[in-house]
Order: sequence, then C-alpha cells, then structure tokens
Amino acid sequence: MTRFVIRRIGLALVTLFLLSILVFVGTQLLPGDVGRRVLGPFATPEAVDALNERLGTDRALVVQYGDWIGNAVQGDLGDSISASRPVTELLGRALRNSAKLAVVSFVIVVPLGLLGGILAALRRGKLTDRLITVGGLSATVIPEFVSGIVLIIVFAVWLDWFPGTATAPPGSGFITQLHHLILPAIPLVLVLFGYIARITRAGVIEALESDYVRTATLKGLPRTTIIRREVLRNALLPTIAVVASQIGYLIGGLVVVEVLFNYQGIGRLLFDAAQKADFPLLAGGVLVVGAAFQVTMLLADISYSVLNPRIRVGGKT
Amino acid sequence: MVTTTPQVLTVDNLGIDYKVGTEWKRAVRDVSFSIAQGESLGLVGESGCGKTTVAMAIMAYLPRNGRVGEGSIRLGGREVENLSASELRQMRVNQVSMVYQDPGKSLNPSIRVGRQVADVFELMDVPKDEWDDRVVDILRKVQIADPESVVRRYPHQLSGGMLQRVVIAMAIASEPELLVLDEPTTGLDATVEAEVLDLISNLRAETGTSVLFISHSLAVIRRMCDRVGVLYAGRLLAEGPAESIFTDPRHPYTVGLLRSLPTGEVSRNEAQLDTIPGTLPPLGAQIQGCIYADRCPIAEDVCREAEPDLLPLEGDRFSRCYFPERAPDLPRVVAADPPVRQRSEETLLEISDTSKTFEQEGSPVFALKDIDLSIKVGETVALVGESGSGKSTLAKVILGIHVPDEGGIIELGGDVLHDSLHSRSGDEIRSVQMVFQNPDSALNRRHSVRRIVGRAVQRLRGLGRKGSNERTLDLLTEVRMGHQHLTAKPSHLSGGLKQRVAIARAFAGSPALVVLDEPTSALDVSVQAAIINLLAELQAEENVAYLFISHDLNVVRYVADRVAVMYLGRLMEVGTAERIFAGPHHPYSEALLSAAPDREEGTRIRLKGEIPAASDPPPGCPFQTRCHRKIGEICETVEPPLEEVEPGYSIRCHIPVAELAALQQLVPPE
Amino acid sequence: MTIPSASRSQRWAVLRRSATFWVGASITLMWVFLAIFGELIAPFDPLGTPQDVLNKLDSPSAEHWFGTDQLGRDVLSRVIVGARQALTVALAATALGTVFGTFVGLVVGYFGGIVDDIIGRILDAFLSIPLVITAMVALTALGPNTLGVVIVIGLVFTPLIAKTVRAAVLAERHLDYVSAAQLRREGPLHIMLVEILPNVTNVITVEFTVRLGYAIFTVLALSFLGFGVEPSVPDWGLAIAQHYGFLTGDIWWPVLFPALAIASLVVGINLLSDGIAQAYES
Repeated sequence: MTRFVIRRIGLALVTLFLLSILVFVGTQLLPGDVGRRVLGPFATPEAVDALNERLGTDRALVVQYGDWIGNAVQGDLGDSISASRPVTELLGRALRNSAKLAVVSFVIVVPLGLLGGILAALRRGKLTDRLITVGGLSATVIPEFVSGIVLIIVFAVWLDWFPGTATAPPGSGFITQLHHLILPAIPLVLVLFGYIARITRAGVIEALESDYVRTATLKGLPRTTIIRREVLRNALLPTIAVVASQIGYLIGGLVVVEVLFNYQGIGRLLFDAAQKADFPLLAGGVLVVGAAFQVTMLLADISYSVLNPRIRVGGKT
Repeated sequence: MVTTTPQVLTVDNLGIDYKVGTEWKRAVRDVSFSIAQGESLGLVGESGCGKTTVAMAIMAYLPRNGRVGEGSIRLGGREVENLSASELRQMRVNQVSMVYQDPGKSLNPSIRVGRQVADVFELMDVPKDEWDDRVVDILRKVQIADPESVVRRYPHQLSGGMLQRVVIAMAIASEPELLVLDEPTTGLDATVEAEVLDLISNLRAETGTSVLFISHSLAVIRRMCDRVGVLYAGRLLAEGPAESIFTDPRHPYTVGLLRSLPTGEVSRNEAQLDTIPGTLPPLGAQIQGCIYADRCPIAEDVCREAEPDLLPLEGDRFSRCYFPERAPDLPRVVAADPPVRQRSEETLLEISDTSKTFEQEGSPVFALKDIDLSIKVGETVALVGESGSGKSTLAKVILGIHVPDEGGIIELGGDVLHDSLHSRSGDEIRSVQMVFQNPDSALNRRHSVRRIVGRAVQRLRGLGRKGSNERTLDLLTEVRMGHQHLTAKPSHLSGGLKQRVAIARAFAGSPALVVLDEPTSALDVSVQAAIINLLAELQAEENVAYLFISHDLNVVRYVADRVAVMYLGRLMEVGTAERIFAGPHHPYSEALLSAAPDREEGTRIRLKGEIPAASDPPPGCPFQTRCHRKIGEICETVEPPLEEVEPGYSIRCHIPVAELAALQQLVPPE
Repeated sequence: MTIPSASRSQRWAVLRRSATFWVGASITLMWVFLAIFGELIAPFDPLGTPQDVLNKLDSPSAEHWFGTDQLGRDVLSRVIVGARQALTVALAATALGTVFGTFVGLVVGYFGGIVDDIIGRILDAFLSIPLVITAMVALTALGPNTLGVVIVIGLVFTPLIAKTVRAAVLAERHLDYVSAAQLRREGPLHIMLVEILPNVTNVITVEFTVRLGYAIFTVLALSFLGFGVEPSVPDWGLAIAQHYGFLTGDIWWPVLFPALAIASLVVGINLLSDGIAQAYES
C-alpha cells in the first residue's frame, strides 16, 4: 500500500505542476498586455509600462513563471492590484468564510444523498425510486442562482423566515451565522443531492446484483445483515471519491451563490477579481482552489485505499 | 397433503417466464423431475436451455425480470413459492445450499474468508466460541492446506480453485439435504477441475447429500450423476439413469449431441463428426408440436402437430419423443467420410530460440522461454496447456502482435518473418491469419457480414470493390453461408454462423497458416462439431496449416497431427498426436491427461500446489514444484533441455523416457 | 441462460412508454420552438420600444401578464424569446466539446500507455478548476463575448467528454475485432474512426444530452455573472442579474419568471436525456 500512496502523491504533484502552468497561462499569458488591461485604453503608455514593470510582466515568460511559482511555494502570491494588499491575506479570510458555507452544505447533503441513493436502490423501480432519481436529477441541473432566487423570493421576501443575505452582522454568534447560511446552502445542497444519490444508488444496485450478495442470500443471512455488511460496505467505498470530487463543483457553485447572497467568500473574491481584471489575485485564487481540490482528491484516494483490502493487503501471497 | 416419499426435491410441471422488453416470455416449460435422498441428478443442456434458470427457481432467487409462471417446486415436502421470507431463509440455512460458476465473484471482496464461512455457523446457532474451530475443520474437510492461515485471507488473495473449495465448504457446512451445483468447475483449469470434482464425489460419499448438478459438459455430468435430465429450449427432452442416457440414448437430440462430441477414439482422418442441423428456437417462441422437430432427422407429421409428453420407457427412463426406439439408428446428417488431405513434409513455419518477456510493474514476466517449434505445410499442430502457460502469447508472437525478445527467429517458408506487424510485408500478413476464441468479440457488431469479410478481402488481396464482392461471396459459400447473410449484422447470427464469418475473414487472403485460438470453446457442442468439420474441409481444400490452441484434449486428439504441451512459457513435450496420447508421457502431460472428466476414477494424478507465477518461476525444471515424479535435487537446480529423444518426439524432463514408460505402468504414487 | 439485450425496436418501446421522456421531450421541444419563432408569438417587442420607459417595473396585469422590467419591457415577451441565447450557445459549445472530446478520447483510449498518461494528467489538472471559474478567468483574459463563451465551455467539456469516451474505447480496445483489423494492416485512423467509433456512439449520444444540460446550466450562470452576453439581448440569466437587486423592494416578477423558465428548460432536457439513457441501459 505504501507504494500506492507514494505513487498517488507523485501523481498529485505532477498534476499540481501542470495546474500551475495552466493558471499561469490563463492569467498572465492570455490577457496579453496586463498593464493595458488593468489601466484601460486611456492610460498613457508610460503609466502602462510602469505598471508592467512593477508587476514584472515585462520580463521573459519563463522567468515570470519561475518567480511566481517559487514565491507561491513559499506562501507569497504577490499583491492584489485592486486592493493593494497581499493576495494570501485576502484569500485567507475568504477561504474561512467559504469553508463555513461549504461545511453547512456538506453536513446537510452527504447524509441526505447517501440515504436517498440507498433508499432508491432498495426500492428500485418503485415510486420512491423514481421520485428520488428524477427529482434528484432535476434538482441537479437547476442552476444555483435560479433555485437561490426562488428561495429568496419565497423564504426571505414573502415569508421573511430567513435573511436574504448570507453575511451575518459582525460579531454574531454561531446560531445567527448558521441562520444566515442555511438559505445559501440549499442551492448547493440541491445540486449535489441528485449527484450523490445517483452514484450511491448505482453502487448499491451493483452490489445487490453481485454474486457475493447472491452467496450471502442463499446462505440464509437476514436481509438487514446483507444490506449492512455485504451491500453498503462494498457500495459506499467508491462513493467516497465521488463525494470528494464534488468539492470541485462546490467551489464553482460558491461563485454564484456568494454573488447572489452577497457573501465575502472565495467565490465572491474571484468574481470581483475577474471584474476588476485583478490578475495576481485571480491567479493566486485559482491556484489555491485547484490545489485544494487536488489535496481533497488525494486524501479521498488514500482513505479509499486504506479501507479497501484489495489495495491494503495486496495481491496473492 | 401427507408426504411419505423420501424425495428431497420435487419439481412438477414448472414453467418460468422472463420479461423481455415489455412482454413476459416463457423460457422454461413443463419441467418435472425429482431427486431422492442421497441421489444426484444432472441437468445437461446447451446454452440457453434454461438449466440455470431452473436452479435459480429452486433457490427462489430468480432475477428481477424472471418469475415462476406455473407448476410447483417442493423442497422437503414444502412448496417453495408459499414460504414466508423467514421460512425461506431457514430453508436456505438448513436445507439447501448452492455453489456456482466463477468463485472469484462469489465471495465478498472486503470480508475475510474465515468470517464469511463462520456466518454459516452463526446462522445455525452454533455458540460463538466454537466458530473458529468449526471453520478450520470444514476448510480442512474440503482439503484446503493450512486452513488456519486461509481464514485470515481476503478472497482476492486466493486462487480460483481455493475459492471454489471455500464456497463448497460454506455450502456443506450446514449439512444440507440438497446441494445445487451450477457449473461449479466451468472456467477452472483441467487439473483444478478434476480436483474439485473429486472433492465433490468424496463429500457426497461421506455425507449422503442429494445433489442437483448443472453443467453443459456431458462428460462431467456423466461422471458426477446417478440420473440425468436433458434440457433443450426450456423443455426436458429425456430423463433417466446416467449410464443408459449416455450409452443407449433414446431421444434424437441426445443421440445427436453425443455424436457431435469428439470422444478421443476417432481422429479427423478417419471420420467426420456428425452434427445437429438448424439452430435453437428463440426465447419464448410459440412452436406447435415437438420443440425439436425442426432439427430432427426422423421427425414426421405427427411431431409437428402436437408436442409429445415425457413418455416412460423401460429401465426407469423417459423420453419426450414419439419414436424413441428409432433414435439409436438416427441417420447421419453429415457423411462419415473425411475430406481427402494432401500431406507434405515441407516445413512451413520454423520458430527458433524465441522468448517473450513482459514488463510488469518494473519486474520481468517470462511469458515465453526458448521456444523451438516447426509446423509443416498443411499440418495441424495443437498447443495444449493450462491458463498462463503462454499459448496465446506464442500465437501473438507468430502473428506479429507481440514482438519477441532479441534473438528469436521465426521463419515462414524459409524466409525470416519480420517480427512486428508494422514491419511485415503485405504478403507476410496475408500468409498468417487468426480465428479468435469468441466471435462476439472478434466481429465488429456495427458492421455487416459483407463489410467484415469484404474489407479483409480488399486489404489482404488488394482487390477493388467489385472484385472483392465476388470473392466475399465465394468465401461465404466456402464456409457454407450464402448471399442472404451478406447484409446481416453479427447480432442477427447464431454463434456458429458468427464463427463461420470469422473463419471466412481469416481465409480472405488464402493464408498459409491460420492460428485457431480455442475456436470452438465459446460454442455449444453441436455447433462445435460443425465448425471442426468445416475447418477440416477447408484445410483439405486449401492445404493450409493450423496452429490449434485448445484446452479440450478430446478435440485436440480429434483434430491434431502433432501436439505441443506448454507449461509456464516452455514447451514440455512435442510429438505426433498418437505418440503424445499413447505415452509414455511427460509427467505434466500425464497429469493433464488424467484430469479429463471422462477418465476412470482412481487413476487421477493430484498435482501439489498452484501454478507458479511467470514473474517468479521456480529454479530448475519449471514443473518441479508440482511434479509427482520428481527425482531429486537435479530437478530443483538444473532445467532439463527440450531434447529430441525419438525421431519427431521431444521432451523436457530429467527422467529418461524408458524409465517414464516403466513408471507409468504403475499406479501413480499418492 | 442469458437474456437477450434489448434491440433498437425494444429500446424504442421502452422510450415510448417512459413518461419522463415524453414530458422532457415536450418541454424541450416547446422551448426550441419558441427560440425559433418566439418573435411571432410574443405579445410585445422583446427588445422594447422607446415608450416603454413610461411603465417601468409594472406588476403583472391583464396587459403585461408577467409585468415589465426596469426599462419597461414586457417580461413575458422577453421570457418567450430568452431561450434562444442559452440554447444556441449551449448547443454550439456542447457540439464543439463533443467533437473534440470524442477525438481526444479515441486517441487516448486507443494508443493508451504514455499518451494516455500525459494527456490524462493534463486533463486532470484542467478539471481541478471548477468550470465556472475557468470560464470566468478565460473570459476575463480574452474579454467577454458570446463566441468566447462557446469556445471556453467547449474546451472545458473536451476533457470531460474525452474521459467518458476513453473509458468506452478502452473497453472496445481489447476486443478481438481490433486485433483482427490490425491483422489486415489497417491504420490507427481507420481503426479509431471506422472500427471503434460506431461502437461507442451510444455512449457519446448519452454524454451529449447530459452535457447539453450542463452547458445550459453554465451558460446561464455565466450570463448571470455578467460574462458573455450583450446587455440588450433577451437572456434569462442576464434578466435575473439585472433585477435581483429589486427583490428587497418586493419586485419579484422580472426575476421569478425567467428563473422558472430556466428551471423548466433544464429539467426538461434532463428528463429527456434520462429517458434516453434508460432506454440504452435496459
């Protein structure tokens, strides 16, 4: 297994390296003349050159990349152009806020999605199954800002049960913060629910139809034991990776939700950075988002390998 | 109803339906049989005859789209259909157990083997502190060496043969009244199959459990069963004591099946195999009269009007036929005279010093080692050996799909063949072609027959579209197909026809050598016979040489001129078919031959241990770790060379042939 | 015994009896129809007239069933033609992604080995950034425009579709008909396009319909975020972006109706693709 873990970490490093190149190309190469993009068409050439020099965008690309990634590895992502503050400082606060929202969403959706998927698989072909599958899938494809808008109209504007913004007043306690985060979490939950439920359902059905479940059934094991020990143990293992991979989607969804609910998280930060063509902030943010995703996937794969005897114990002896 | 009969299982007028698309279709109809205490009944039939369906109905475990449409199944006097969920569970715990094909998938991959076996004792309410001992005992009973360590393993750490023993152990642990065995040895290697079958026989003799044994293999059924039922298209066509069913069959279908099976007594130079014409009716077909009438050479008008009942005959047997007395004299469908062959002494293919090493996770796997083999013009050489012996690798090296290691030379007609497909000339490629094992995989399911064969003609003959059309039709005629098949896609053809298309494709460029990789093992017995006949005819007409890979020794004996036996990437023995089968044998060949299910009981040689991994071959003779005739240290240190000890006969063994001859007259050592 | 798998006609039989398929197909067809002929049906000019400013943000009435927006344009009329932008952009992007993705998937799956490793890594790196963010960065760098949206979504879909196609190709790659083709000296291009491609079209069809749903999702999210749509074009995402600020003033109609329109379209397409997937599965 050590071999597997080392190999997996190696792969993650390669991917991270490629990712950093992509981010670099997207934020430093594609924009062309960064100084001009930032200052706009009416700035004097001297001002543009000065900014380019300050940002270092007038140097050779390889040097720029080496500099940027070298600093990034040491925790320095440069300064934001629009806010004139270190990118890491801005990212830190935004990530903390986003993490709160993400945790609330995951705490709601993971148990719900697993339960829904298991239930649908066990009642396969019946009404419950169709409701969960079709309902879940429909919820998955509705954009967050659509469900978010409907939620705001109904629960914030008409019923006034929840605040229409996610940002709690400064110094609020846990309950108040949670109260503000429930409504923004629901669009994310809706999108994720169908996905997790569908993958879970497929895994459970595959296990239910497997030969080893047949063996267990024909051995005379009670149905509850079969579902708990034979089906779930084998079916839920692969869903770990799937749930983890949804972190990636979640961050994308955060952009829309945070803009809609006016919440100072990473999504909102990236959105603002894009609007203001703040390339250093954009580059740092996207790099951190990609790295966070890679680390999550790495942890998921490792925990999967720990739980799976095929990898843990190795081959024939 | 009071039942006083000792019948363990009674199946009466059973009908089973499957839902296809939106309709229910009857797959099994009017099947009745019973199994008495201690009796073993075999159900035999070709694929699609419904044998597994019947077994699953008995276990009350039909798939979601299956249902028992009519009739009754009584186990221990109780109607299975009427059992409540908990009664059904109790029945599965105590009364009936099942073992089926593919043991690799039968056990839960994430639970240790010992725990899975212990389940059975838990369900039987054995006190918890006894489980461990009982598990070890039962594993010992199925002859698992070192059961204390096996219980701690996960299924993926055990070999197929071991896993099937574990599954059998679970099945017999509760001492059930009935054991259902559904193709328990299909997919296992010959020597492993033999061991598992022996084990089942011994356990039966010990416990007196009744057995329902399901198999497509007539030889296995004959060996394992007291009584046999022959299923065809969901009907029971014949039933009776095993001996009389096989030696004195009274249903045209049974007669046809037995005739199409190579027995090992006759070779293709003496007689053609007889076949069964036509094809199996589709699932749920509404057929008036006898279901077999369409394919039956003695069918009369009455057969097509009303279906005969399963009529009793003398000797406690039954036949669903109006004319059971005529069945033994069934006219042959295929003339017995074999096609006339030209034989040649000219060498076609010469393989020298050829090895093939693969890289697997950084370490070498020796798939082929020092192969020297020649094939003459128009000759059939059979390649025999268990899985992992390197048969397919050798074939792929000859074909150029794999490139051999440095130093290997393959000559065709005196010229050195380029080693990879990319470097081979059009002529070289045309000359060496292949027929694959599974036509479903070998034919592109989106292409029509015209396109599949036509494209090969265009590429291999360099013909234009017009010329290729003509040649395509010629080829189809040669494989006994016609222009009506040109537009068909593979999915519309039966297994036999698909294999004919694949053969036509291989012959598109008039090859000198065709590699046949288990060309009939995916086919049913009756279809296999027709394909073997066809291959023999084509060889006689085209004077093509065959490299015939097979694990079925009876087929090999029927078709081969010469035989090469492989083990762990080496040739162990090469000689004419008569010489190889008559002996004296290489110890490995001896074991392989003795493993055939139709061999007399008691003469079987049990091999120790498992086939070593090709990545980690043992020192000395590759077979020394399992050899029952090992003579000592020399076997463990020095690899014997493949030596030509008689003209046309080579062997790789330290024991002189004369000594082997003497040894093999004796009862093999335990 | 093996149960024969459903043929084309049986697949159609399953499809015909599938309620979700019909509901999905009807909704989708309705929006496609409106996208094409919307102007002929819309009660008012969706682009508005100079007089409209007189009745800004009117609530729903007998004349304006869905009310009017901040420029006084009829919300119903803009909803009716609003499908066009999303549908054309999404369709073009999905088509682009499917063509590229199929090709990459075929190459990677067929050649395997080192090609697979290298491209696989690059795709993984690409996929570790959420689609919306990738699009946002690219559109910021290239400047926002509709063609840019098509290209960016198409390019991001390429690895996603390539992954699915690769898996399908890998399953085919080891079938003997590929070896048989090699044994008659077919080139890689022939094997990929003529031998393997027809056997993976099912997978591609299902993937296309699923991706189309996600493309609409993304196009609308981007237009909501203000990327890629001219401010005057009738577009649902843009309409919501322009008006959700008015929600605090209890002005919900310019926002709710486009939102419901979006929901009905994406759910419709989703039901349609689910029906098709089911028919292939059974």
